[in-house]
Amino acid sequence: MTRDFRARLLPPTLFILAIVALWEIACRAGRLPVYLVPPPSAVALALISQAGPLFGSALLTLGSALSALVIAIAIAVPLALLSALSPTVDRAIKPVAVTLQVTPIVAVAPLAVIWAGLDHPERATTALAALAAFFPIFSGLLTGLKSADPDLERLFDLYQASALQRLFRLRAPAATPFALEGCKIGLGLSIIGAVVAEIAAGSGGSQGLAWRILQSSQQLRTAETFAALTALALLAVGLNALASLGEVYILRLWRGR
Amino acid sequence: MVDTKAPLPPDPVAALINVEASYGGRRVLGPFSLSLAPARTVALVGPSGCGKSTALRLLAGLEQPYSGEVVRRLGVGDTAVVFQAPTLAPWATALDNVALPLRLRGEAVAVARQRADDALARVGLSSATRLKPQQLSGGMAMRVSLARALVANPRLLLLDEPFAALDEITRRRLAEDVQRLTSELRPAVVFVTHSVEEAVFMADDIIVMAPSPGREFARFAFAAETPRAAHFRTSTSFRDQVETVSESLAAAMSEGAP
Repeated sequence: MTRDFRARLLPPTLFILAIVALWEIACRAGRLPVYLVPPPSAVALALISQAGPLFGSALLTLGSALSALVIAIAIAVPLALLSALSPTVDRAIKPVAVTLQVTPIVAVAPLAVIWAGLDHPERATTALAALAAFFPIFSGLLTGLKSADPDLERLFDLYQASALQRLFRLRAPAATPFALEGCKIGLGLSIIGAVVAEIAAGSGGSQGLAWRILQSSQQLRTAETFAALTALALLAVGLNALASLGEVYILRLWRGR
Repeated sequence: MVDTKAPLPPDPVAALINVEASYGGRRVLGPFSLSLAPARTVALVGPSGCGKSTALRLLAGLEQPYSGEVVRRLGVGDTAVVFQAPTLAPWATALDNVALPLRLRGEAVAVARQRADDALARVGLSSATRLKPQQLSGGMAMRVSLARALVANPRLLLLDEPFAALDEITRRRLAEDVQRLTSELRPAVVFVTHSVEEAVFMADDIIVMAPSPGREFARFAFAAETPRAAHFRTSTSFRDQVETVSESLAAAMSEGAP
């Protein structure tokens, strides 16, 4: 454990501490106005004094992202399975899915905000987050469904397996690692989608972490902006780490070690 | 030593009659004929590109010939293939991999697993039923693959260089096991190989093939006891047969060379 700590955690910890120290010194020596660049100590104070509201906002953003992930999975999985079963469905869905993916999510955000209405800003957040998460899950699963060992496919030919047998006994299990990777990327993108929606909705938006960033920056309470930004980064890093752990664990079950 | 074009057996399990196969307009096999009888092993020996694997896929019904006729007096599930790689599903246990052919034809889980368990016992893997492919050695994985091929008592067993990726010791043990199992279950067997020694050890009939396009160069039928045991490898008749086939193979390759 200590050796692990020294090898893996010590370098980034020292690096971050060095940056923070330099930043503090630069702020004090350069006498920068606090509203432009607050020193880390001010950010830390803001983090502590705003801990309650920040935590509430983090929960909101997290909730949007997670429910968006569930929605995206619920839509992407049946569509990918249908696409794998029928080339016609595949051809019909592909261009729409790709168009949605390449269209910048920021550009769609105002529409989502209008449709969600003033009373339900969180719906826009969840919808945009789901939209962002959809494509990697859909395309990851679809790629996986087509990636089964060709010799295993031949074996299924030999035993004249039905299309459904092939899908559920061969392609779906073969797709598992790809689908997990897609979900992990989708989770990361759902946070981005949620943040975009909160910022696009402005003051009327769902009061998540991005909303706090927007509000505090407009009032030049820059230390609070940094505090909210730090909380958002921690949330994203934590989610990513959890997703990676989950992926490793499920893959271990999948292949037996 | 006999070197004859054997007549077709009267009631073959499967046969190729003057088949030709081509890929992208290039003829890779034929005209080629082959007839398979129950409980008889035919080895196809030849250099790469002599159409051995194509002949196997035609017999399996996985490909159609360009011309000629493929006879298959077989039902669904009567044909089994063992590939060069074990070709197991990495997410499934050895038991479930072996049970797959039975599950695909609709047998109940309990029945399929019981028969898979028996099949794994026959290849000496009773203790490995719950392991997944990544936890198996190369030889063990190949045994699981063999158990999967035999679990539904196939009438035609197609072996596509099944020992090519194994070390010498494992290869010999597995060859003996295949001998023992096929003499019990009595399917018609086609064994594709690069190795003259394995062909002589395994087969009743050996067909030496010449490349581009793949065709029969010579055919041998040696009399030897079956199933063959390990001591057959050290006998003088084994060495004589290997020498005879090797000379024929060398001639086939020089004829096929561009």
